Amino acid sequence: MSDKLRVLIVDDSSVSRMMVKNQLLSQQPDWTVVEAANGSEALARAAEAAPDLITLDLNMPEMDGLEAAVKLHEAHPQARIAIVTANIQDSMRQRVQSLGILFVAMVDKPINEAGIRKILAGL
Amino acid sequence: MIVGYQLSDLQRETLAEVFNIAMGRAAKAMSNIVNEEVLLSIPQIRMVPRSEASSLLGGPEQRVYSITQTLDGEFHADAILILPQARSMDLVRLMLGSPQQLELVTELEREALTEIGNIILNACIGTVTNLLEGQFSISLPVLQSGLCGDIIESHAARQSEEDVVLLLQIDFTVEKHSINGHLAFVQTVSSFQALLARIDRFIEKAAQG
Amino acid sequence: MTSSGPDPTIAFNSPPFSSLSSTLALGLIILEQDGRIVHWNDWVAKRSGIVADVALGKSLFDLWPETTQARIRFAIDQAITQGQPSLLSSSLNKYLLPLYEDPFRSDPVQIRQTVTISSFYMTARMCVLQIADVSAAFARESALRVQAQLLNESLERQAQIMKQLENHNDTLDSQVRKRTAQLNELAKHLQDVSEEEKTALARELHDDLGSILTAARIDVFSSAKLLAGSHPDIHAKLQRALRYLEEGIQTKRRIVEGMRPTILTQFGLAEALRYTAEEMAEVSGWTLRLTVEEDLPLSEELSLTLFRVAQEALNNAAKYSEAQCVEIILEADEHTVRLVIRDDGKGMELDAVHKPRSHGLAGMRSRVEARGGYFEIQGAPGRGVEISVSLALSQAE
Repeated sequence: MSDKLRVLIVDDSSVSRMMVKNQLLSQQPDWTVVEAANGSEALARAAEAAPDLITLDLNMPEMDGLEAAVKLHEAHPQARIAIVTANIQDSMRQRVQSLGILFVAMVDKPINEAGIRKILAGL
Repeated sequence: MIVGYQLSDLQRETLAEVFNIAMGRAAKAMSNIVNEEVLLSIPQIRMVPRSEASSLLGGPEQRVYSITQTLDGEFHADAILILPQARSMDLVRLMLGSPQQLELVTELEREALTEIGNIILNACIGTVTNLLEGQFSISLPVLQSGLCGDIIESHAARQSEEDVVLLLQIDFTVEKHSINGHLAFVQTVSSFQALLARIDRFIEKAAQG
Repeated sequence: MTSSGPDPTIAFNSPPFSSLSSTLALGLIILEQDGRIVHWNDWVAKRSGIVADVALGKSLFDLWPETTQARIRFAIDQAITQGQPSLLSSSLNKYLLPLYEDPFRSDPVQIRQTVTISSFYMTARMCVLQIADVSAAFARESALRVQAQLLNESLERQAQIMKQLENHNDTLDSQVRKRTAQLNELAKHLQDVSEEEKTALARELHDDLGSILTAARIDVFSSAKLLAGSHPDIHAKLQRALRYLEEGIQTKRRIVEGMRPTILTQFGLAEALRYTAEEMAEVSGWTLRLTVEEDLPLSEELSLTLFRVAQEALNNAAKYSEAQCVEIILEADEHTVRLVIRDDGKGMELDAVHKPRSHGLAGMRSRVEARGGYFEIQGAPGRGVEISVSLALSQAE
């Protein structure tokens, strides 16, 4: 995994974006990171940055994560998406699976080293 | 507005995210109990006079059960789960397989409801105290039934006479059983600085990665 | 556990703590962080069949392997690692700990229990299990549930019986309504027959007897005139016969009038009421108050029914009431005609109102009800009498 990947971090909480970013960069210091605070911003950023990896929160105001996932996948089929969420109910897992998108991983908040490793392993 | 007790945007947002994650755990615990999806609102953080708290938690005239566990340590807070009275007892009886028509709510039914509240609150409190890394003594759950307003008032009597509280609130819905409830952390402002210190440390650690 | 401070095993198993603990009416188990038992009170020993000496120092999960997988294990871990207390209710957790009423019986009965699990700090975090025996409450509530079930069933049965009874009553009701309708029909028929007979009789009296009498009077009159000069004695006799004939003719007219009031057939109900009322008011010295609508579209039968009621009511008033003032109201809307006769006389006993044959009340009532109308009489001593009648304008024949 020596490529310098571009990562888009989507989360309405800036502290959560910060945690994902710092955890990720501590394991992959050469990667570049772009951030978005909601679904529509994510679509705009993705169009500019053409990310290789997107981490996506599910519970966001306006466009929720599920909708954002579908639109991001349509627009950028090459980008791999990982779900990072506080909603860890089985019903949500099923809903995510039913989208028919092959996600890299679905990890619980708060993100930690193990969570990042799980995402990297899925790439 | 209460001078000297301002949260910065980052602090407010962090508090909301911590609570959001904690509620995610609580919702999973609840959904395991009721075997149904639990829908959550966006968490809200408010500084309010205590008298207004009950109107934010479903209205002072609503008949509710509340299950409370108190955190004591660096800061003091009541974690309160509020459930509408009729519906939640129906749910307990469904779980216990006891007849629904009984007008009297028995001691053991109240105890069962207390346990359910305890499981949900523990999931939430455990996450909050883990994330904020505080040392707390946590009380056993206490069940109360009555008007929401009276119950929130009785919390005031137990705590200090301070009139302003920090209310961290999330509303949840179990659609199949038509249960709309609330989970709230009610914190007195006297221990506010201690909470802020914890939040700042959390932000600091997050920034370190 | 080599940290400084008192050794928990010693601290919790010597007085005064051990003496206190042995008096408790609940089970008390204290665990160290690794789950090893450091206190086991008499209550627990007695109900588990395991004495403290055997239990102390062992892991709770080794001593009671059935607790390893259960929620109680999770709660103990939560208390020890996170300091989070738990309540395990007897209803949601059927078999918590292997505690029995009498553990040495061949088929021991497990105690229904509520367990609270909390923690406190000593040298390290310690976990406390408090066990309450809720078997009695459980039995009580089971009994309550059975009672509630029985009560429910009996209420359901009662509701069923009530429903049957209601159905039965409905059937009876509809039968009564049917019979009443039949009787009304019959009464109406009889009324009509009677009125028809009266009309026929009146016609005969008027046409036949009337003409005979008139013819006789003309003859007698002319004969008397002829004999006036020649036979004054016969003339006087004929004059007398003429007066008798005149009386006869008047009597016939009165009878005919009574049977079929000409005034009613010729001038309509309003005029007939006015005329009859004024006549009687003059005799009885009443002040009259008439509110009578003219030219109502009333059938002949309807007019007659109302007129007869009015006649009967006015007769009653004249005979019994000693009234000063009598009021008559005749009014109608689109569907209903209403007649009220009210006096300010001495009134009547309620009993009399309900005595069916008194004062021709029954007759009035049956006339009205035979036409599907509504008849009401109100009266009390000193309060006058009010009779009101409502009838549908279009009579369903």
